[in-house]
Amino acid sequence: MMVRMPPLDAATLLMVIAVIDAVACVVWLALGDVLRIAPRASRRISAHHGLLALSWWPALPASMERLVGLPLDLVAAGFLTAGARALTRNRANARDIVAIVLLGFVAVACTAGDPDPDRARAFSNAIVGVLALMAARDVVVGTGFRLAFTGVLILPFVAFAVVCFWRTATLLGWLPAAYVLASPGTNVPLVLLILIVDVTMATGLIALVIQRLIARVRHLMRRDALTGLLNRRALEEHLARMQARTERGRRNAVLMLDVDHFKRINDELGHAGGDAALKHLSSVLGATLRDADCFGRLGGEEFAILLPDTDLDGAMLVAERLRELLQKQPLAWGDKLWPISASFGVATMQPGDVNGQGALSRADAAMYAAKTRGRNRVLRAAGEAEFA
Amino acid sequence: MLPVADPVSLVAALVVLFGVAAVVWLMMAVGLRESPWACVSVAGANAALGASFLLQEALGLAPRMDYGWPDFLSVAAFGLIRITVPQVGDRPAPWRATLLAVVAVSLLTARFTAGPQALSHQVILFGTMSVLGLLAAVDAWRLMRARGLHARAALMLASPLVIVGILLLARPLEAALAPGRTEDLDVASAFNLAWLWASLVLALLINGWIAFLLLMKLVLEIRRLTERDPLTDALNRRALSEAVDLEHSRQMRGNGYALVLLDMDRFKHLNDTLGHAAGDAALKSLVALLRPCLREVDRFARLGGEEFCALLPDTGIAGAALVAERMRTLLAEHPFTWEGRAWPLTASFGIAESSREDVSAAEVLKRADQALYGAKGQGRNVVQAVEIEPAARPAR
Repeated sequence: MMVRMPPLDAATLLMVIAVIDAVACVVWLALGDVLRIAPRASRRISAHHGLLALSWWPALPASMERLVGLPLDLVAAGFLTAGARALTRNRANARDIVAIVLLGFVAVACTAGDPDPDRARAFSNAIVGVLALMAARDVVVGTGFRLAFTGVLILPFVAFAVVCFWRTATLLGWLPAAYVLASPGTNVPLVLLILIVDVTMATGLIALVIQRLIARVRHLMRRDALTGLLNRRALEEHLARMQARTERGRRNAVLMLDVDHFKRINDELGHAGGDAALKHLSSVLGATLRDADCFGRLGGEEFAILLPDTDLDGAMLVAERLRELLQKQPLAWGDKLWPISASFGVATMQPGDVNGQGALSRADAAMYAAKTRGRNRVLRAAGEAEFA
Repeated sequence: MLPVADPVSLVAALVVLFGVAAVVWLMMAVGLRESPWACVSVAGANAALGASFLLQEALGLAPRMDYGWPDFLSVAAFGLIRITVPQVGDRPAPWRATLLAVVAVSLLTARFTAGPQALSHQVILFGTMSVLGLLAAVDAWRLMRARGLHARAALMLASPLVIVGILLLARPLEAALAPGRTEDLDVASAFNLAWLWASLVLALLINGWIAFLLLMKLVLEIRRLTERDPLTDALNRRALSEAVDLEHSRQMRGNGYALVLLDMDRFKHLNDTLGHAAGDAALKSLVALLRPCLREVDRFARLGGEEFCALLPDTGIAGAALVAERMRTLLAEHPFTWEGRAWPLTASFGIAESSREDVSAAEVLKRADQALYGAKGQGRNVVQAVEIEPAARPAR
């Protein structure tokens, strides 16, 4: 069966693009101002779509193109680049973008003497293309996607830039007749491409927002809200994984610690002081641990550290080092220094344990023993010597 | 009002739009791995709507064919949108009933009506799509309410699909008002153009709406994670302290509040005897048991360990004593069972009411803490209040 493309009307398709941009403008405004998601980036991207909607809608007489139409396109492109930057890099600095848009204004203004607007259109297209490429670069640098996914995300930006540069070359008369790209006003395939680019740009950026929220949810689910350390659930997952490695003959150790006299700190400094003490401890100890170590808060003033590929002697050394470090760095609270110490219990993981809980409870028992022997000390779990 | 437009170009634009949307949603399903089945359903709905418009004779791409297929595809698309909403909420979707309805309606309209121009055909077809859209809206409302959104905000979120549902009835209404005059889509009649423009906006609206639902779900999830204690789902200490501070600042303008502090008795003993898992279960059962004692405006939080606190706005010491006493008896009457073994679960309560003399909410909490300490000293399982000294009592 021969499929024949029906004759389409470019002007109608351009109006469709304007409607899509108008809806995208509203959606981004709602994201930023109702859901309070990345409000600055959302407002910028919303402005981009709003200006584009005005620019595509056939309301302006042709004589106004150089005065209103082209500057509108330039500002819209600038907003998109600035929005993409705020969204992906959390950096609001848009001075370079403003400079490039102003450069575009100047270039368009310089053509005021020309009888037809072709040179003005060429300059405007070139600047818009550069801005699209800058947005693409920001997306590449700022997102944590896999390479293939990032590639798909920036594809519409690159395609748009290519179209812009192609149009520039055409308008300046650099291309032979066979390679000329007709204007969107009469070129149906080009308008369809712009339609696709427009929609994929907008949805790609929304996908970015969704991805950021998902990353935040996953982070919150694994982290303790106060200290930013792993929470109990995440720690238990790591413990089970380490137990599996222990079964295969690796040596792993578990370290438990509990802040000494925490109730007294809480009573004397108030709950805010207690919280500060916990944060202080987690930052002091967390700074010296290896990347592979898992430092987590089990609840209250109780912490655990999982040390992979560490035997009992190594774990005792680590615990002793941490204990000294904590003792040397008192908490600064209300222009006074408050000494903080902790009691440590150390146990090695043994094969045959269920999810490593046995090692955790042996370390817990050792920690309690350290408490009863006067606190601020490290003790190994009972029976560890035989295995060591 | 609208500039002149070409209906065939509008149909083509719709096909492109639905096609792009289908691809984007599929990529979301693969790349983000969040509610993947919801994304696949929306992708399917977009693909079906795109195909339905593609098969319109207006485009001339497909040969003149049985009108049953475009109809089936449109109904199927709305069926998919209807099952998307529960999937966004990670709940089972009623896909069997939806599938049955889609197939039944398609067969009915394809075989038993007098053709696509007949009123009955239009009513059944668009009526079904409308109902499916409205069901999706109702589901979305329930989903957002269940996740703690205010009624008005949830209604606003559900409204786009209500609008879609109502607008879908325009086509049969036109057939009813002007029988026999319905024209093919490629004729540039005023109704056709308005219908196509509306379809475009609705297509964008539906896609944007589902993306919005997904975002809203994530936002509410983040709020829950930052405000709630993961074990018991009670508020965490930070969220309670914000709520108490707010209530304290309001007290300057009139009504006082009360705090009920409670601490589970002999929790360490339970933990050591039955294990940590039993301790966690006991904390959870305590929260579940005490929830009914509280009003909608009250806040209940886990301060840490086995210590909880209820904030009772617009309540004096007498009201707080009543609530605390009700909680105490409820706990004492319902022993906690663990692996078939009953374990008596009691708590000690300290209550305090706010006074205008208090500089900050911390002072009220301190009094409640002293009262709790007193309750523990009295042999536990009691409610104790600390009276404000007469000098500090606010002048009435």
